[in-house]
Amino acid sequence: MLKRHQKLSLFGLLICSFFAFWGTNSVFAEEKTGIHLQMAPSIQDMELDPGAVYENNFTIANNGSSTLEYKININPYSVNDIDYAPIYSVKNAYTQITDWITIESGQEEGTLEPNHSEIINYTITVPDDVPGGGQYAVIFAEAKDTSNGDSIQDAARIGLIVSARVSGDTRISGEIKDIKAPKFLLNPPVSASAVFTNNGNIDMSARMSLKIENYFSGQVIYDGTSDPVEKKLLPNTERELSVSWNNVPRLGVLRATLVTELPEANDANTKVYTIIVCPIWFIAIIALIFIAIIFRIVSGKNENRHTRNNSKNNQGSSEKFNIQG
Amino acid sequence: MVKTKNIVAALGVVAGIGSAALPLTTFADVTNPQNNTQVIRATVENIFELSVIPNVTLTKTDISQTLAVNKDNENTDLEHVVEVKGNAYSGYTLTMGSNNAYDSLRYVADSSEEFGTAARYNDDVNIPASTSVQHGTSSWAYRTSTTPASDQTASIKGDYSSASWTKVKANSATADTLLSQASSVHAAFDDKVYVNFGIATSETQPAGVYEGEVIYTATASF
Repeated sequence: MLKRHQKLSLFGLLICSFFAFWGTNSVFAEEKTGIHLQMAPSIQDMELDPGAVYENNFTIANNGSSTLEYKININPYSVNDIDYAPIYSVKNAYTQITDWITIESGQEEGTLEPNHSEIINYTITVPDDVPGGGQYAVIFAEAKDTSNGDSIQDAARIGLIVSARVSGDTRISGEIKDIKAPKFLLNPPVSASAVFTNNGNIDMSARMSLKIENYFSGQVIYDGTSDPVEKKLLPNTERELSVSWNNVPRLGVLRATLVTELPEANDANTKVYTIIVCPIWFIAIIALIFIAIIFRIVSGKNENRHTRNNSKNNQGSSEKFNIQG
Repeated sequence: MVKTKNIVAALGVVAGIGSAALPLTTFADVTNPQNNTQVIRATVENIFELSVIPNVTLTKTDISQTLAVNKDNENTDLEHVVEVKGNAYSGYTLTMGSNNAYDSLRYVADSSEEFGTAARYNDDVNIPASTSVQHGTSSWAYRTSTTPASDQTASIKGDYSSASWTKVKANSATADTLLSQASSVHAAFDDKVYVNFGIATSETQPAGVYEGEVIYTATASF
């Protein structure tokens, strides 16, 4: 007959054994309907030489529960206007790479079983006579869920951006303009914006940062210089960048330092300016005080005038009395 | 002595449960921890995933694959749940638009023909894309939300006439941006948007099946 402590020990051992087996065998597969398409990587940067041939690859995966039919397409990559919304259908001088990319034969389309992946190989054949500069394309993996019989079918495509620099006559040129930095704020945040222009033929970085100090004490209360806003500028495009800081004191005087840079073009601009933060209720109080002071002054003048008139009248009466007397 | 034995036994039970809760693969090798530094370098691959899940909200007891709509009943049941996740350092952009040159729902004249081919459709009687879904007017549009239509109040879900609808754009136009993350964020992301479609018809719209195809596109941001 086991004693009590022996029973407890045995019980503990059983518990341990149970969890050991249960922990290794319990795999719960979650049903994932619809399209779940994964791609790795999402951007490939490369240096190309005219006349050379390059091979590369990427991986697509089906993370869903349904078999996917996929096809690979190569589209030009450009952007729309200053807000940089991507466009995948407009060809220009910087999207010629679209025609240089070839997907390995037999891999242009296929089927992906659930939880399976495929390595897609592609070749870039650079013509001999291409000019130097940036070239941009996107390789899409497009999939449809053929089991979906809805009236509105859905397809999904995920893109790999191919960003290349062709050696040769490359030109780096840009400018920073339209810097906007409000100096009077009723409410947070403190924000600033600028437009960056790339006049060259290769992509470059645009960078922007903001630092905020107390105007009187010089104490730094926000320093964004260690983590600036940084984005790429494609050739022959303009892009607006902005920075902001929300934790602004409701009332105060601040000194802001706004730095805008185009590092590759050796162009930078530092703007130091004063910001007055003044909420509307404070302005209302100041206005009321000002009105009260004005009213007090005006009413004080009227009172003095009234008093002087009264004393003149009294003096006139006494003189009359004297004359009469 | 008995008390001590009980304590030891109890601790044995607790230790057993605790060690069983650990995933077995995390036990580290600590046989030679002294004066043995090793550089460990790992490359984290940049990955990106887009998922699109069509979901017909359960406002009807029969979940037919074809959205039923007639002159008296608009249909706002279809919703796509679109999710973008990954660790792309540069952020991402998700857009949506029609996957062909048509922004309208096309009338299926011959269902034996392959989906998307010209022979399948009669484009003279399509349901046009619109910026509104109005009773008695043939139109279709979409709206987006951060919450599913099934979680929204009846007034929001049913108030299709005054809701803010967006016109589906043909592939010749710049697609609409549904979600984006700026490259300055530099963080992994897992974002979701619910795309709800609304369809209405006029009295004169011919009965039949109408089809459309939208495509969701996700790319890393520059």
